[in-house]
Amino acid sequence: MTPEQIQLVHDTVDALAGIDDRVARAFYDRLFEVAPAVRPLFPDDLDAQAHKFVVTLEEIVRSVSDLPDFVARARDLGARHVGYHARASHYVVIGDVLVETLAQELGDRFTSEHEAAWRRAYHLLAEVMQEGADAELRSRHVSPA
Amino acid sequence: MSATLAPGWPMVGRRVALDEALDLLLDPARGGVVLHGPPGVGKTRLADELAERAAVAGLRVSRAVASTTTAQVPLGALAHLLPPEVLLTGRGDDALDVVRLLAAARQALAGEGRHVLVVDDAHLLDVASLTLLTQLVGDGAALVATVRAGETEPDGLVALWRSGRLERMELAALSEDDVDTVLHLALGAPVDGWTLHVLRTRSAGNPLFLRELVRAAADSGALRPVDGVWRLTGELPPATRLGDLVAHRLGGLAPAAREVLELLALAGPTPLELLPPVDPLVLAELEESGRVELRPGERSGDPEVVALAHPLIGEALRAAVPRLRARAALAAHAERVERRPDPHPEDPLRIATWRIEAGLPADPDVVLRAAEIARHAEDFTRTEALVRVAHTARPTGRTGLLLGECLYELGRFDECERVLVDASGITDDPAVAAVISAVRATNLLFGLLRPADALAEVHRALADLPDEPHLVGARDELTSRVALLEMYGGDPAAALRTLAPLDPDSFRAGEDERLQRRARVLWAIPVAPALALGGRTGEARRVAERALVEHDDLEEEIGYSRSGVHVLTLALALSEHGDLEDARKLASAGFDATVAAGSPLGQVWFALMLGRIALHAGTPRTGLRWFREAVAVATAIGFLGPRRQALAGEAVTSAWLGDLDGAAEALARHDAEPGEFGFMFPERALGRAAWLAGQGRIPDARAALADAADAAGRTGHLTVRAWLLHEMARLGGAADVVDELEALAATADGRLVAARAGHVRALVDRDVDALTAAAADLAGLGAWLVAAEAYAAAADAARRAGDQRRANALAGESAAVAERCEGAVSPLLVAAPSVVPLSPREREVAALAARGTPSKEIAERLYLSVRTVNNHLQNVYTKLGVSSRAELAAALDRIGPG
Repeated sequence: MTPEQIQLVHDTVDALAGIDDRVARAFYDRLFEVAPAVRPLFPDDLDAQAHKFVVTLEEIVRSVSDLPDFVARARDLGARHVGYHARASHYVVIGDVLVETLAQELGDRFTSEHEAAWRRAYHLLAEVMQEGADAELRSRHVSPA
Repeated sequence: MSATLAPGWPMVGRRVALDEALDLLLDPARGGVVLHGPPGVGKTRLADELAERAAVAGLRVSRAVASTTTAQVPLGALAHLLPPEVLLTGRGDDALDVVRLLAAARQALAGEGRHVLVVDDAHLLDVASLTLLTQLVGDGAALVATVRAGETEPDGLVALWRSGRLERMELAALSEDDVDTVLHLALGAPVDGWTLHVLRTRSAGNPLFLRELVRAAADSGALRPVDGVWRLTGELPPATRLGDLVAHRLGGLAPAAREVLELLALAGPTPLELLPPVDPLVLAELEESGRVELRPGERSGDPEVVALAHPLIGEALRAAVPRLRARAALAAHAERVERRPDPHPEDPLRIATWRIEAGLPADPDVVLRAAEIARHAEDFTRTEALVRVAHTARPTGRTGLLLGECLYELGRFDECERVLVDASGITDDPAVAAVISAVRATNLLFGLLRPADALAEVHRALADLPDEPHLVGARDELTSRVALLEMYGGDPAAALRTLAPLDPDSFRAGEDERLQRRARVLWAIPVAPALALGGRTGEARRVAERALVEHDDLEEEIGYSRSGVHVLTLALALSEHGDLEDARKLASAGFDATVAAGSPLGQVWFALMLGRIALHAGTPRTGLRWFREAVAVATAIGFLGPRRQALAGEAVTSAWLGDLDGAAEALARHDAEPGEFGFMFPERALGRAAWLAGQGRIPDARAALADAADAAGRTGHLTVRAWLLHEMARLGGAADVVDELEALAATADGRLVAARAGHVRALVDRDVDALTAAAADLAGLGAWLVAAEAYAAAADAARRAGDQRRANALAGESAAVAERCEGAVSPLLVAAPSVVPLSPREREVAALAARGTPSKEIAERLYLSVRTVNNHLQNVYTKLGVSSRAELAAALDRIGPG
């Protein structure tokens, strides 16, 4: 990500203030419509989940200017997803739906530059999360519970 | 943010591929995956991640890396995975032993549960390794193979993914998002937009290229962090190709560092303590700059090894290192490894390889064992290189024999003869001497085309063989070899006489069931075709079928490595019996198998067989195609004996197609063939006869056939003789040959000879019923051309008897059958009465009638009276030889429109 792109995703997070729960619900609705197969990756109670999702997203996106912090958070998040058997293809579809939802909900405030910046940011996040998931798998293998 | 670069870059952009590949490893129905792509794209990295995920999933994982170094010796890349006894020396250097050891290796590697074999740079695998891996995949193991784009992919691997056992995944360049992410993570900070654009464009998304560019630019200071963002502030190195860039980056190395890298390039991954003495800081610097990396040892518990970070680095170094320096480095390395306190089982083999490379003498026992493993894998080029080393160091009968076998297989027949003559002078082991004679005789017959010398050689060997109990097995095998020379030298009768004293159910080889089987297989190779050609096709079939089963069980080298020889004999037995379609299917499958196995010798034999079956069927275009294929392959590999057979076939089929110039050319080439080769020689007369007949020189053609038929009779070619006599009958000589042919039919067990005799008898008698029955018989066998001729003769006989309607019906049958004959021009078809053409009005009436239109309606439509319609119809029935409207439709189809 270029420094400009980092600024753009921060702007988006600012713009989400106040409407974040609605955006989160819209994201999940769209996601389960496009890819019903990923539904089991998420808890049954979507209201609590939606809130958590927004908080986590904001935290992580804000941390991207401090890479070591970002990597630590993303790896940890990925490790926590191991138990859900998330596949690489799930990460891809989730990224697409996230960007589509932001475009839908933010309208004019989400330009093509914003979109490119979000795609980069999500790509970075997804790669590091999956790396974290791998590391978690490996550590479990070395010392089985 | 750090300004130094982490040695390991993250793997980015391969997550979906990783998931899909892991699915394949977890699916017991699949045999794994081939990762294909250009150098530097990240195949090895993906394979390593995959190996780790597979291990996490509970699978047993073994790793191997093929290289130009491991390719020097058979099983080189897999040596560390094999039980020590496969590689150890001094244990009975007998080919039989190698077979058992390899079976043991296969068993050891198969083990419990699914075994995942990760093989890097599989395009560099030697043939023996590839064969073993293919077998293991067949046993249920999974393979993860990386193959560099642009390299020739080994046949075995291609066969595996073509068959669907292995999936082939193409690794593409990284996307722009991927490049951005990997740089961001590796550099620990954002990269500015322009820098990203330049790096991505120059590297074309190749991860290694990208990394090398970044390292070079960081080293030169062209790429540096400015206010927390990585920016390109100077020039990138000029190299536009990855290999050039890698070589460019090696330019500024200190001599000590270069020495280490060169050794790794020449000798492969090496434990720290076996490297030349080197300052640890030099190694650390090499690791940091991405030239070397530490990898786990090959076996669990082995110390870590230092390896080049990418094969391209090795390629650049090997291309640049002066040869004497390379030799000195390898010699010193071999010495260090020899002295190590805890030697590995594969050390002797690797030391021998390095010493060979260094131009030093190598342990002949080790090299000979390696040569035998390569021989077993039919990697004759590799075998020759190795056995020459052993033979030079310490020539024995065994090394000479192995070298001679290779030279024969490689088509270097003169050299083979010289080596074997020398070898027989060296050995004092009569059993080895017997095998040397057998191979030499084979070379004399098939290679040098000197059948008489071949026979004399084996007879001499038999006379020289001491009359001792432990050599009776060798005697039996030599006797079978005599019969083989007789059979392929053109005398099946002599072959059967030679083998008459041997009882296939009780060979003297000993009580050992395996030795019994081996002797029986060797016996079957000449016996089965000799029986088939002698008209004992049922026996031939039983012998060949049993030999096929027993040969596959044998799993050992007996000088006829390919059990395809029995398939070929089986096809011969089927065709001589008259089961032409079964014979064609079998030979066709055999041909495909030889192509898949890369056996050009087998291709020649099966192509010949398929051409010959097409001659029986009377399909000259198909036949010509096969004969040309046989000629082309035989010429390409210098297998000139059987080529004359194919050229004769080319003459027949060309003549049948009316191409007399083509036939003349094939005959001229046939007559110019060097040496002697008697295999099924009487049949070759068919070529000259067809050409003579095509020119209208019928009596000359018959005379040529008569001579050949006599020769066939003298040599036990009974079915061939029947064929030649039948040809004479086709050329108007029925009365001259009918008695002989009927006598043959009384002896032979097949339907084909009987059908030939029936046809010729009916021709002599001009009996419509008998001719019709003979035609139906021949058509039932799939012998279309002679069947069409028989129908034509029947039609002619019917017309002479005044039965025009039947004559026309039979002529119609003849035309229908002749349509299968691919445009064959036949003297007997020309003589057949042509079908009287229908008048336009008759055709109109017939077409309506054939569609079931009643006469009254036809009359109304065509403005004719019903009586006129019926008259027309009656004429049509007579002309077409039919008697009902139902038959009319078929007859109209047969004659076609117009």
